[in-house]
Amino acid sequence: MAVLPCGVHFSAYKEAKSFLHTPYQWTSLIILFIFLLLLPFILPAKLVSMMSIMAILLVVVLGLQITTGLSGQINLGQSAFMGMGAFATASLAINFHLPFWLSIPGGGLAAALLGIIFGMPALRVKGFYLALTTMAAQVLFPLLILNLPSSWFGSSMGLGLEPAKIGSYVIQSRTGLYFLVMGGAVIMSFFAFNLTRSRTGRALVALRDNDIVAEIMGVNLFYYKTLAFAIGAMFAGIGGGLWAYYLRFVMVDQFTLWNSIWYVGMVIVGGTGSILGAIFGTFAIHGLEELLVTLGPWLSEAFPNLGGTAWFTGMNVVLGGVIILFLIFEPKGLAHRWSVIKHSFRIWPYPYL
Amino acid sequence: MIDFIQYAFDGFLIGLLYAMIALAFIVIYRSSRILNLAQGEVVVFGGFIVFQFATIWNMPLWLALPLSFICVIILGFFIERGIFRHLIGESLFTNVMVTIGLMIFLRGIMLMVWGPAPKLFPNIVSGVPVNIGPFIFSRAILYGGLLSFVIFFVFYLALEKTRWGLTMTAVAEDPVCAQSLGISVKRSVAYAWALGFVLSTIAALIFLSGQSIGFLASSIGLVALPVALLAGMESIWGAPLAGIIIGVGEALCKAYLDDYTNGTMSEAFPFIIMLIVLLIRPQGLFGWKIIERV
Amino acid sequence: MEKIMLRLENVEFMFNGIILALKGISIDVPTGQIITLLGANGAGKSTTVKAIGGLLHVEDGEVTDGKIIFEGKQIEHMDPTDIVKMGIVPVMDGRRVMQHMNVEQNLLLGSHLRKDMQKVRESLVRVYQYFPKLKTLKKRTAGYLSGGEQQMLVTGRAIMANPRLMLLDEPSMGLAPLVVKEIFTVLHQLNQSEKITMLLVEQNVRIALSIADYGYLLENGRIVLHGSSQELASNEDIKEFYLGLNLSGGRKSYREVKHYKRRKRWLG
Ligand SMILES: Nc1ncnc2c1ncn2[C@@H]1O[C@H](COP(=O)(O)OP(=O)(O)OP(=O)(O)O)[C@@H](O)[C@H]1O
Ligand SMILES: [Mg+2]
Repeated sequence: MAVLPCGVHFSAYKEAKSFLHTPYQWTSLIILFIFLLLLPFILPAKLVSMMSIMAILLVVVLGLQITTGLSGQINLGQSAFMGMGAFATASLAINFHLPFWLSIPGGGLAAALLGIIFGMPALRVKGFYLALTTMAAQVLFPLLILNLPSSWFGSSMGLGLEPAKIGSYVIQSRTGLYFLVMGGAVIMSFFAFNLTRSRTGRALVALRDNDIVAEIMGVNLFYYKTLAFAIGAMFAGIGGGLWAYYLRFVMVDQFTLWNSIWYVGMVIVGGTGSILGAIFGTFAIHGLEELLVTLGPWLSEAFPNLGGTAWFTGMNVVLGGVIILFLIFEPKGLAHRWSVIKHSFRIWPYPYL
Repeated sequence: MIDFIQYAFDGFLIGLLYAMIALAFIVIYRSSRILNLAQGEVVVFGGFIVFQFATIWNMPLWLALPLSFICVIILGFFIERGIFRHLIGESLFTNVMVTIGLMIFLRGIMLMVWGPAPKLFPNIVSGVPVNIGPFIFSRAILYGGLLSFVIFFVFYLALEKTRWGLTMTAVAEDPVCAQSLGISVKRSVAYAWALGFVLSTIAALIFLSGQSIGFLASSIGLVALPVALLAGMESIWGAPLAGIIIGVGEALCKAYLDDYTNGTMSEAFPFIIMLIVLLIRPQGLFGWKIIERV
Repeated sequence: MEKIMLRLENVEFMFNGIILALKGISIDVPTGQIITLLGANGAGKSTTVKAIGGLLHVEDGEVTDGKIIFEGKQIEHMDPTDIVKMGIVPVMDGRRVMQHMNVEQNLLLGSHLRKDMQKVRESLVRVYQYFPKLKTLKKRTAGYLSGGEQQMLVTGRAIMANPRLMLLDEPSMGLAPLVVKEIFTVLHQLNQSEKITMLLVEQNVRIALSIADYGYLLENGRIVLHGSSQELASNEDIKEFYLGLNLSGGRKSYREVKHYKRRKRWLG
C-alpha cells in the first residue's frame, strides 16, 4: 500500500489522482528541473553526452515499461520500434522537410502503427508466444528496411539528416542537443507518470494481472492490448526520433535484437510495472556500462593479463547476472527497494505499518 | 534441375541440424515449461567448451569430446541449481525473462573468456566432401544428418515410451501434481538442462566442424525457435519434419529469391513461417492442443 | 491397542508467514483403518492433506509448530518425493490428471518409483479390475475424460504407487451419486482386501461415514469434534448441520442454533 506523507489526505478523487501532494514535493521537482537545466554547464563534456544518450534510452525504456511492465505483454522488439521511429523521422525530415517538432511525433506515430500491427496477435496468442511474435518483428524489421526503395528509408546506406532547427537556431552543439533530448525525455516521463494514474493505466494493469477477469470486468481486451503496444511503440518511436536528430545518421545496424534484450534487462532491474523503475533501470545499467567503457582502458592497463576487451565485455556478465539475481531475489526491482526505504522514513520510528 | 536438387538436399541436411537444436529447446520446454531463449548461446557455449579442450589445451578428440560432454552436463545441472530451483512456481513471465538474463550472461562469459574474434574450430569430421552421383555434400553435415536420425529416435523412445520420460513430461504439465506423485521437479529440470546442453553441443560439433566459432554463431539458435514452434513445442518427431521444411525453404530462398531481395529472403523465411504459425496454429504441427473444458 | 500409522500432533500450519490455516490439530490414523476428515469449505482439510504430503513448500506454506509422525519418523520437513517413497500417496482435490497423456500413461506414471515391472503390471491389471471403465478407455487422452472417469483415474494412479497410506481429498466432489457410490465401494474394497490405510477428506458426510471407522470434524483450522463413525452419525449437531436431518421435523429455532455455536466455541 502506498503510504502518504504525514498530513496528506484526499477529499476528492481529483486530488488523489494528482501527482504532487505537498509543497515539499513541488520544491524537489523544481530543484530537479533547475539541476537538469544547469547540468550541461557544470558537467564535463563526456558526461553531458552520456546524459543525452541516457535521456534517449529512457524514452525507449519507458515505452517498454508500459507494454511489458505495466500491461504484461512481453516485447522483444522494442529496438525495432525505435528504429521505425528513427527512420520515419529521418525520412519525414529529408523527403518532406518537416521541422523536428513535427517529424519526431511523426516517427512516434509510425512506430505506433508498427506496434499495432505486431501487437494485434496479442489477442490470439499469449505469454511466451508473444515474445516470439515481437522477436519476429525484430528480426524482420531490418530486412524490411533493406528491401524498401532506398528513397524511403535509405536501404542499406542509411539516412543522414540535417540538424534540427528552431527558427534560425541550429541545434547541433553538445549543449543544444542535450536540451533537445532531455526536453523530450522530460515530456515523455511526465506523460508516462500520468498514464499510470489514469483510467487507461489501471485498465492496462488489470490486463496484466488477469486478462480473463479483466474482460469480465468490462475491460475491452482488444482495444487495450493493442493500445499497450501502440503506446509502448510510440515511446520507442519518439526515442528513435530523438536518436535520429542526436546522431544525425540512422542505419539498421543501430537497432538490433540485442538492444531490445538490453532494454528488457533495464526494465527488470529497475522494477517491472513502475515508471520510476524505468528511470532507475536505464540510469543504473547504462551508467554502469559507461563506467566500464570509461574505466576499461585504465583497468586493462592495471591488469594487463586479463586482456583488453575483458572489462567491456564483462558488462554482459554483470547485466545478465544482475537480471537473474533480481528475478530471484528482488523481483520488483530497484523501484521497490526505493519505495521501501521511502516508506520506512515516512513511518519512522514505527517499524511496521 | 540438378542444382535445384542439390540446394534442396543441402537445405534438408541443414534442416536436420536446426531440428537437433530445436530438439534441445523442446526437451527443455516439455520437461519444465521454460522457453529457453538462450538456446543459441547454449549451442555456442558447448562449442567453445570443445574448443577449449581440443584446441587450447590441445587434447586429442577421443579425450576432448568426452570431457566436453561431462563439462556441459555439469553446466546444465549448475543452471538448475543456481537459477531454476529458486523459480519453481514462478510466473511464465519470470521464466522467460530469466532466460534472457541467462542469454546475456552466457554471451558475456564467452566474450570474456574467448574474446570477440572468431576462432578456428577443430575438424571433428575430416575428409573431402562426399560425392553421391552428381551431388556434393559436406562430410560433417552429411554424417550429422544421419546421426540426427538416431538421436531423434532415441529421444522419442526415451521421452515417449518410458516411465522416466513420462515423469519428465508430467513436470511440464502440472508440476504440483507431479510432486504429489513423488516426482522430483528439481531433478527433472536439471536433467532437462543437461540433455539440452548435450544436444546443443552435438549440434555445435556438426555445425562448426572445421569452421570458425564466434559468439555470433548463436544466431543459429534463433532459427531453431521457428523450427520448434512449427513442430509444436512438445513434439519430438515433429522437430525433424519442421526442421526439414524450414531448412529446405530457406535453402531454396537463398538460391532463387535472395538475388531479388538484397539477400534477405532466406534470413526472413523462418520468421515469416513463425509468424504464420503463431497466427494460424499456435500449437504448431504436432504440439499439444490446449484442452479447455468448461 | 491398534498401531498408529500416522499421527498429527498439535500441528500448526502457516501460509506466507501470516495466514494461520491450521491452529494446532491432532489426528491419529491407525494402521488399516479409514479415517475421515470432515468440515465446511475453507476449514483447512486440503491444507492438512497437502501438509502431510509436503506439497506446500511451493505455496510458501510451512508447519510452524507440532509434528507429523509417520511410523515413528517425523516427516513435516521432508521432500514430497521421500514422503511418497515411504508409502504415503496423496490424491489431491480437483482431479488433477495429466491432461495430455492417455489413461494408461497416467496410470504408469503413478508407478514411477517402483522398480519391479512384474509387480507394476500386476497392479495395472488390478486397477483395471477395480475400474473396468478405465480399461475400455486405455488409450483415451485423459483431458477429455468425464469428471467421474478422471476421479477413477487419479484413484487408480494412486493405487499404482503401491501405497500404504492414501490421502484422498474430496473424491466425491461434483460427481453423480452412482459414480460416487462406485468409487467409494472401490475405496472400501482397497481398505479391506489390500489393507491400505486411508485418510479421507470429504464434504459428503453420509457416504464418508458409511465407510470410515473414525472421523474428525474440522472447523476454522481446529478439530471441534471427533469420534467413531457411529458416534458421529448419531451426533445431533452433525445430523443438523452436515446431514441435513431434523429430528423434530420443523426448522430449528434460533436458540438451538445458538446453543450449537456456544458448544462449538467451547469445543474449539
Ligand atoms: N496457498 C495459500 N495461501 C494462503 N492461504 C491459503 C492457501 N491455501 C489455502 N489457504 C487458506 O487456508 C484455509 C484452508 O483452506 P483449505 O483449502 O485447506 O480448505 P478446505 O477445507 O480444503 O476447503 P474446501 O472444502 O473448500 O476444499 C482457507 O482459509 C484458505 O483461504
Ligand atoms: Mg479442499
